[in-house]
Amino acid sequence: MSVKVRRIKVLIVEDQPIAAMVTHAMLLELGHHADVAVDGKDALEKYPNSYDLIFMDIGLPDMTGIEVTAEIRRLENSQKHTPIVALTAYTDQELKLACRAVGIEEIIHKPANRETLKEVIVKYCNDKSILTFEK
Amino acid sequence: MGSISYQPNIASQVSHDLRIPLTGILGMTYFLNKTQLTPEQKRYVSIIEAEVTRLLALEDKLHTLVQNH
Repeated sequence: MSVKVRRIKVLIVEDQPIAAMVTHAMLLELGHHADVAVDGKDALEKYPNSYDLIFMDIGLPDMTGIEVTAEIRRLENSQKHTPIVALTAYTDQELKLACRAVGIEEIIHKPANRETLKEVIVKYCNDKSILTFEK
Repeated sequence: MGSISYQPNIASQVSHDLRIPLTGILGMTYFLNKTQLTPEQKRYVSIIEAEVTRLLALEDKLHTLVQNH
């Protein structure tokens, strides 16, 4: 049995090139479109492109993924809510609280495998407008 | 902007910094597995993955130990 998910547009916010490369490759394999932002400033510049899902690294060079998310939520102003999932190597409890406070849906720990990414996409992007695109 | 922030303590930062290159290695084994590998090479890649996974689990334990100390 396979789940049919529409082709979505994902923003990967990640400063480490290797990590970005792997996540990007996995998302392309799953049949989706993915852009990469290399820091907070880049993420906020790319955000207006309108994404179905954002994978947010927390440890960025210019600001934390928490601050980037807070700014995105501010820009959204309750008019929309882009699913933002933290994809991070930070595993502590303090991060959980901070993520909840800014409206991050959940935390995925690095390394994430393709199945985990797929589950996240199905969970947050599997809405009624499903096309019969399948991978 | 709101005042929500995240400041990792030193144990979390060290844990994070240890996980990053380990994650990088697993990323490379992921790409290696997508190339044409001989059975012998597949075996070596599989061992690299197993060892790195062990390291990550150990790192997790260490992080918990340090945090609770």
